[in-house]
Amino acid sequence: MKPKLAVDVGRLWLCNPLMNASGTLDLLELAAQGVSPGSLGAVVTKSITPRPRAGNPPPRLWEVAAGLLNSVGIPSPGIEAFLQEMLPRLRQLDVFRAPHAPALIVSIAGEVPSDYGALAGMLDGEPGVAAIELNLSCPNIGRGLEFARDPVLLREAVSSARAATRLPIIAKLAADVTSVAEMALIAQDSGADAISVTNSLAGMAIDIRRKRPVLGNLTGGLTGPAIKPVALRAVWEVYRAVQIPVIGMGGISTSEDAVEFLLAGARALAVGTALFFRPGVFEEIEKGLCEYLEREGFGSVTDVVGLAHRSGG
Amino acid sequence: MGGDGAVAEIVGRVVDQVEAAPGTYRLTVEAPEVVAAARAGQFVMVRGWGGYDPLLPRPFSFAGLRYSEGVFEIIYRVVGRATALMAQWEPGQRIEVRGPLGNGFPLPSDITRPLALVGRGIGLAPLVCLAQTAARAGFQVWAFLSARTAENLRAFGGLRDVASRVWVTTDDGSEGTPGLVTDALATALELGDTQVPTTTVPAPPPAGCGGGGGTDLGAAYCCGSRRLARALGSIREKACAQGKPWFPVYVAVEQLMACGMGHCQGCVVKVAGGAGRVDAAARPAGAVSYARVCREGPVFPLERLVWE
Repeated sequence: MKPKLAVDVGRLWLCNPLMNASGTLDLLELAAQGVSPGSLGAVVTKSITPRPRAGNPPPRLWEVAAGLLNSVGIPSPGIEAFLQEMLPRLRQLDVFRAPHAPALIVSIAGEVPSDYGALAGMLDGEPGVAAIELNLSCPNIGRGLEFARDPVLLREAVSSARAATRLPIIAKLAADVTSVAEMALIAQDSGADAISVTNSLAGMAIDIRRKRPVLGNLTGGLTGPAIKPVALRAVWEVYRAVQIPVIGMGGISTSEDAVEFLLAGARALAVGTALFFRPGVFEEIEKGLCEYLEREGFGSVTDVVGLAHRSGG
Repeated sequence: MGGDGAVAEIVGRVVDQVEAAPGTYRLTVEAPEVVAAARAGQFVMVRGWGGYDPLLPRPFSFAGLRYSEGVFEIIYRVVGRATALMAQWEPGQRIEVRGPLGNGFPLPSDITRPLALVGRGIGLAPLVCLAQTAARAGFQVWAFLSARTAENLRAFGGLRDVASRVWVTTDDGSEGTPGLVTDALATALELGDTQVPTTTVPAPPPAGCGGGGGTDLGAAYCCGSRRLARALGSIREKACAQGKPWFPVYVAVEQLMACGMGHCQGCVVKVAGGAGRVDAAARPAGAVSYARVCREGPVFPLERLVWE
């Protein structure tokens, strides 16, 4: 009998545990180019900001060993244009009319804590929006720190969002902090319904001919297989610390990777960079997951969540 | 002008690989679903290695499209680890191909005016495909080839084959004349008569002979070189100042890419006056913004590009 892939992430129910990482998939672009997104439990938008943003100057990309540096810088049409133009077009897409339609998760990013409340409030009650993911790895303009790296800012941002909406709130954290478990507890205390971890890791590269940083923004975020061990450890630690569900991401490229994250405590999984070099990755992971569950005698993907902790880890 | 066809993600088969010049390869790949919808100016992402290093597929413009055979050609130089791996590919090798991506070179509707294709070194690759398409459509193609040395032009015989007129400039004078290829174009336009033999730079006009008259260009195209693009802009200004009609200048731009399909917003270049979707909100006229080379490009009208 085919193992069940449906998962509940708190109040959010997904037909399978897979979603794209924010910023790596644009459903409107896929539709324009006649490409099917494959079967996903959820799709996550690029982060939307209060005002339009052009993003960072190029170069925005640099490949490194088993990884990708990006300094894209959250280009965004702004919440008004998103609500008036993009969201209506998203709702019309065939993918959302299918029987097992993915849930639509809107990612939001702000410059001050109250931005998260303002954005969440505007999305509250919007038909078609299943949940909100808080992109907390953006610099707070006041203190120059990222929300995910500062306990005070994190608490204010998540609380602000919580007060503004009844939608499920996912707080996306960074693994490269002193204690991601402490940050996860703060997010949970502030009302987050789930934690996603990790966002990209801070990194950079230097052009030795020109003797200066490669990226236009000097530093950027590292993603891809290179960060998997760091991401996995973050999921492990967050799972131990909080009671709310964890969504794991960071370097997942194969179904074996996906199983590791489930065993570490992730209830759902996001794939980002692998989409760029393995277009069929969602299908491959779904297939591999089913084979693993069957082989190991599990009837449902939820049976394996956090199992690695049980084994005296 | 954006890419409007369906994008295929398939496994293609290497048909042939030739080292056309030291370190420069011409690769031929059978990929019918990709080729059927493809136009000159567009590109493909290719990957033919497992593992994670190199990680990403690499983008290459079409250097040739053979529709009846379902085959495309790319011309590339070995510059890093991925291209070094590609140079090992033999006929029969299966590779992942995604495409066609991006927009194509627009062609004018009036085929009576010649098209100037201006490129240097490996930047000539997409112009080969354009020349073939334009010649098939009945255009006169004026090809201006430039390189450090003659050897760097050996891969581009396909361009010479279909061009009505060819000018060559090399830095070391090993072929054609030394000097700037854009000077060759400027001179050709000022003279513009049909008696001038090909493969040499026409002699400057006798003193006292003004501009005006002669051949008017339908469009000019260049690739991958900021200097060439700017020079074409200056030539157009001079031509217009002499009373010649304005002609579009198209630049095929290159940028590092990750997804190649418009998702990641990584491959942008600075453009003037409102770009892709992200600038749907009102921006003041003349404001600078960014456009994706993989979607709004790789071909841009010259005046759209903002140089730092």
